[in-house]
Amino acid sequence: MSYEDAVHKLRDADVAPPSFTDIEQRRRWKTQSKVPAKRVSIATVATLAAAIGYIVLTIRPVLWPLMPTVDDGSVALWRSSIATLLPAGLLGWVIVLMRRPGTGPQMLTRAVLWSNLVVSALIAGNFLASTDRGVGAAIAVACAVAILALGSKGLDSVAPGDSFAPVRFRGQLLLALVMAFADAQTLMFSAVLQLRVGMQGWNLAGTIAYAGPITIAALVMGVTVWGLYRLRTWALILNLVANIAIAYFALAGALNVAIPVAAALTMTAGVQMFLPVPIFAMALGEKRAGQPVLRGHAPKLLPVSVVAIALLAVTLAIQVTNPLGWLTGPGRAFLRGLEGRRMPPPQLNADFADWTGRGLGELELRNASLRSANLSRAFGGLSIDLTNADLTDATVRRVHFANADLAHATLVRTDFQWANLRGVDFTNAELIDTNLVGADLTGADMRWATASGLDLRGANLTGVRMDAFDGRYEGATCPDGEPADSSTGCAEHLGRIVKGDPNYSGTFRLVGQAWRGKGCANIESPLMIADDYVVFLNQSFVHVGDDEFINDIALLVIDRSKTPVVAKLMHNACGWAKFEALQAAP
Amino acid sequence: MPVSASPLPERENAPAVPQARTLSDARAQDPAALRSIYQEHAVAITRRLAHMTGDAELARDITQDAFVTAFDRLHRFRGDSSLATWLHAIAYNHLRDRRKRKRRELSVWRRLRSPEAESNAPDKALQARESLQRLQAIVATLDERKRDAFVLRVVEQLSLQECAVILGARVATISYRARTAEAEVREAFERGATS
Repeated sequence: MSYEDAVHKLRDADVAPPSFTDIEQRRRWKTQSKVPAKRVSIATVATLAAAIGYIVLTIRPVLWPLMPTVDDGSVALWRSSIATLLPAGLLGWVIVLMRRPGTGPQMLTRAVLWSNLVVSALIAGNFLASTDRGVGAAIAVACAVAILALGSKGLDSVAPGDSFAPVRFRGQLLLALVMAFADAQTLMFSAVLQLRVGMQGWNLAGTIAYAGPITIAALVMGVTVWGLYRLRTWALILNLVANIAIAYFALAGALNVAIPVAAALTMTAGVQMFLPVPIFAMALGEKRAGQPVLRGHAPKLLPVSVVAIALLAVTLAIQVTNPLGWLTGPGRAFLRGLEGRRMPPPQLNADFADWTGRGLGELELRNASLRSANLSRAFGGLSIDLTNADLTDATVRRVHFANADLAHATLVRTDFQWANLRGVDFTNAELIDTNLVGADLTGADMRWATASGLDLRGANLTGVRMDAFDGRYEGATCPDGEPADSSTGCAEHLGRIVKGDPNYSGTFRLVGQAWRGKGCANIESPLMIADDYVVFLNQSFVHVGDDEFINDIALLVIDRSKTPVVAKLMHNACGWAKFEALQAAP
Repeated sequence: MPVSASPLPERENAPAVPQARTLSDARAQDPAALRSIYQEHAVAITRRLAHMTGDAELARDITQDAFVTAFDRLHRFRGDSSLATWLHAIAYNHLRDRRKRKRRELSVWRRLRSPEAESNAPDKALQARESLQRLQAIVATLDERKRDAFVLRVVEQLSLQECAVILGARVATISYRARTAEAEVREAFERGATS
């Protein structure tokens, strides 16, 4: 056959086209599964706002040196900022994804939004400076708006050729998939945080020991999501095993995450453990398995949950209450109680004790004498209990002690340079000439500690509960997230009320009107704040009126991060009223 | 999957509707008009896509996507080109999207078989079938852009202007690609025939 004949034959080749019925069906499906344009627009704006929120969190530390309030040196860059680009990128992806019909894209959209709702609620309530908490709450509200706007439209329509097209247990599988994705993102977010912290000051082995477990957990969860999306049986089993492991390791402190994050991971792991039960039950012969328990109620429960989480985030951000308090107090003791008996520490020769790079979680270290010991690059996080231990002259550089217990410990001349001390309990500890250069103390509790001569240069004190300790603060980030001042250090940036601190006594005058209610005349007169204001349920109250007569009791919040000092009153009748310091003298 | 596995279109029963009226009715989403457009163009589009991808099943998928898109966007068709060219351009855009997503070399060209390959062809057709398969195998080795130009210009014998609109390239570029592709295919085909 000649070339021309072959080409001619090729031209005449008969390839059957798809049937017109298929095209009509696909068009019908596309119309039915499409989320209305108005709802998509609302969700797009909300998702974009959430992504911008994360970007604000990322670039805020970079902008610090440009702010007029900064009058001293460089600011320790917030080390975790890079991690916030991960959810920002995912949210950007979601804006594209939500426009695509089909269960797959729509399900992934919900998963990313739910995941960020939870992550931002954790940001709002836990780790960061007051500004960042506000941004976290805004992200949570934006994610909630996006989830509510999208509704459940598009989730129940299977596209021809869709990978996720279960014939039974659709609800369970969908929920398992969304939760697994949310877990994967939360774990990956934490893993990036930990890797970033590790790489900034620690060697490779230390970084792997610290960030390795959570990175592995994140990757396993990622594989689970991939398998569940393709409806693989192994993925269901892997999901179950992974959740049991994550719950165990989170509780045991092996993931090195903050206690509220560990609690959130454990909670979601618990739910996910029960989700495949009906599927396994049916596989074992139980015919009634999979009957919907919440028939008709599920569509109402989801919006309620979304609103509840968003409200929780806002509540946490403005610190009306601290519902996570039980986690960092009794919760810590409870979690440690789950770990069982510990080994006694080896007898140490103080002169040459070298525990460099060791895991300390399995040792009983309460009351231990570790004078002059070398614990550099040791790790164990939450599981380390050094209550009442003596670490005088010890070298504890670059350790991973996140959420460890150092209450009542003696830390005289202890060298904590570049240590990870996030969430550590230092209450009643003795810190004299302690070296905390470059240490990450985010969220640590230093109340009632005896401290002097501290070297806090370049340290991150964001969210630390502390008094105005004497020491060096150049380049430090203060508890309210602002940079330390060259002359006063963090004294004006403690961001919270310190009971009994005479600096908080003073006379304030009203500068801002109350924004609601009537009968606010009582608080227009100067407000006297004395040392003996009432503290009830960890909230500060003050009487309003003249000196002689107590007319009303109002909740008091003083923001020392502002100059001049600002007090706010939550009054039953007037709502919030803003005061400015007329005089804030000791 | 064999090419003849899917049902053939109902070309024989298609009502004769004038194109202008069909188009205006189709814009109003009239099912009969949409069906008429489909019946007129689906076969050619599927065949060309099959030649470009080397995969009849994939070609049918893309054709389906193309018609769904085209029917949704009929109101945007301004008549700058023929309806056939417009439909082919949409189909080609879908093909490009698929290629971008997958980026895999579609070596499955050889899976595409002519009807003779599936029927109980007599022995005398064996040589012709082998020649056709050899041609398909050679076309499969071409660079994607050259292959597209070759299929539209040489195999389907569309005008250079139509090829340019469908492929979104300049006429001179299409002409060059088609000529070089044809020279390469012809040389390889004839070399194979003599060896």
